[in-house]
Amino acid sequence: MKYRCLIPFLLIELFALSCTKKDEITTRQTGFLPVMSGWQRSEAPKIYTHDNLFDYIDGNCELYFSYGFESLVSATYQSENNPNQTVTLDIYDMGTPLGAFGVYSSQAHPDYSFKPIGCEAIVSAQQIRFWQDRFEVEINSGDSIADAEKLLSEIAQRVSEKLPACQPLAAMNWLPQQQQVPHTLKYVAEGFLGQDYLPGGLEATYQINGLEVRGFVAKCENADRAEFCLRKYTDAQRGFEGAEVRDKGSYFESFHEYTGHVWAGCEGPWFFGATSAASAEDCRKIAEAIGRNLQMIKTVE
Amino acid sequence: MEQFKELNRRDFVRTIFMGSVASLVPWRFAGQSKKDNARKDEVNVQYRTLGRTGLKVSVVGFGAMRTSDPNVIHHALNKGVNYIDTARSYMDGNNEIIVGNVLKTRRKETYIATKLRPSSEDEMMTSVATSLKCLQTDVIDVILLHSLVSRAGVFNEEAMNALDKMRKKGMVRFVGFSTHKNQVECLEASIEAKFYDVILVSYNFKSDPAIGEAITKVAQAGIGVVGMKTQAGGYTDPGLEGWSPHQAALRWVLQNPGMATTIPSMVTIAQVDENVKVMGKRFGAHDQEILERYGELYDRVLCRTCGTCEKQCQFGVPIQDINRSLMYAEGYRDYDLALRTYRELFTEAPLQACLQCENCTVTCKYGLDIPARLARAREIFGTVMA
Repeated sequence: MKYRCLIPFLLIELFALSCTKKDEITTRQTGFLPVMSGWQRSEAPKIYTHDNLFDYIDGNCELYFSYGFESLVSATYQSENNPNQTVTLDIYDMGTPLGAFGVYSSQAHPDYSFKPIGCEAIVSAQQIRFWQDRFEVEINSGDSIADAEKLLSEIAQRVSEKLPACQPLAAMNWLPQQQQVPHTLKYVAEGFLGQDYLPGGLEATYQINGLEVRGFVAKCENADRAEFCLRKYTDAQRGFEGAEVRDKGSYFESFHEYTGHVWAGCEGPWFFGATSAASAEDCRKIAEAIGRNLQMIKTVE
Repeated sequence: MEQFKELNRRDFVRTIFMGSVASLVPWRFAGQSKKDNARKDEVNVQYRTLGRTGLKVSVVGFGAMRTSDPNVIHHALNKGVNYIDTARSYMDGNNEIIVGNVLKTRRKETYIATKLRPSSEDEMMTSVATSLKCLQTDVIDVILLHSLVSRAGVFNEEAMNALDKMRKKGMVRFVGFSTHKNQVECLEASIEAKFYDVILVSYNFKSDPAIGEAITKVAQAGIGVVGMKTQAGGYTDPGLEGWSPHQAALRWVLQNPGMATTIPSMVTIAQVDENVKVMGKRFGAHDQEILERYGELYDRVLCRTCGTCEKQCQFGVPIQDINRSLMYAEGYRDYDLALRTYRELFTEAPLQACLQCENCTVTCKYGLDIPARLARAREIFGTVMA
């Protein structure tokens, strides 16, 4: 009862919160939009949330949702000299840095051109895509702009300067970098390794003796859960008709003509392993290197 | 602190689960789960002809848009699925690479459909050449123009010329388009165009009946129809374990004989197992009952975000955002996102305003029971924020 006098203040606070929610998104994210000489915004920036992202990017919104999408601010700039020249700037708030890296990395390929803008950027003739903190940024130009790549890089740099600084993600160190093919590290939030019981995880391609091996790791709630995931994953391999599965207790190795060689095990809360189409030996080597790396992280932590 | 957080989350999930089970007990069907498990590996694959293409496609195809692991596709092929849908733009090309990793060894068992954006002829030719490379194949079975929204788009001459050129060069076998908006207009225009072999259309039990009628007409004109968004947004409830609205929703779509195949999005092996069971069983009274319940759930909880409720609340409670938090929890089962969203609204014990208000008169023009939804929010979020 003695706090009853505070109720009106709480209600005012609630009211203020509700009124400002959308305004906050608008203010925060539109604050990242740069002002550029020679270019002006053709209309007010548009805000998209979970409820209407489909209107903007159709079914591709499912990918963004799976990585924790929260909101998008989209602005179109028009050249003052030539109104036919436009640039579209999309800033996705993915909720967490891992979500931003996840959606960025899901659309990255080692053959693309990369630049050190934000945490990392992919650059092509008419598009720049980068991630930084909890944001994934996409900048697109029409084909009528000469040297669009330079212009897009400049805009990206300006946006990057306004965003919170790029912080290293601890999860990106779970997979060792030695022999890892650059720009192949990906975070998969949903359906990691095709299994519904696994949490989101990371995977990367390794090159060993000229052959490719895919390494993977996911951090479970605890060691028991990691063991559970290992058992379930062993069963999943057995589900492929004709698969040869050698269960060694703390890890297993298997082979099937479609899944290739698989090695999987646990280290504390981590479920990890590797797959290879061609070599069981290389698969084991990479998996063991991942295991050693995780042991070290566990010790340091 | 970490342990405390985990306990909270567990409590949170348990609360949602128990609440849902309690509210849905009459809808559960005893023994069904057991029966389904017993028949897990028995898939009676059904095929239909994809219009004038003559392709015999499994009625459950594979939507690969978000699939990151090729083994999920392998598993689906092992179950008899033979139609895979992807697009050049999915994962910015990576999705075609993932699908290509499967096709390189199993091309003969598979029909592959991909999409490209309508643009200049040169750009479209480059796009399809890239798709062929990524998919590791010499020919694409079905190429679709991505997301047409109007009759003008259907009659886009430059795009049609490009598709024709691809066909004549042997890069693709059949051509078509996908559509999400103004679907009836696009479907009817396709009959008039006499050019397209396949159309990918958004269709589910919540669709406007006019779309179903247009699909029938299109199929009668010899165009193969493929269904997407077949599960009406995939809104599910964690308390519905034991029966699957997804299966009933897919069977409902397949009742339309004009629908040759469907492409539910699948990212896990468990989802494949769930969807392939649809084949070989007709839509029945049981499915109808499930869909009615599902429809009620859908109608009862899905906020259309019109915002009219918020204007009625004298305390300015952010009802729309609370409903969104509930949707993340109950629908998407993304508990972290639900909590984060809710915590942005309230940092302490939630909805004190409602506790002081004895007679909530807020109504929803779409029929949501607002006081009940707010009580549900208090129940769910109060557990972890008290």
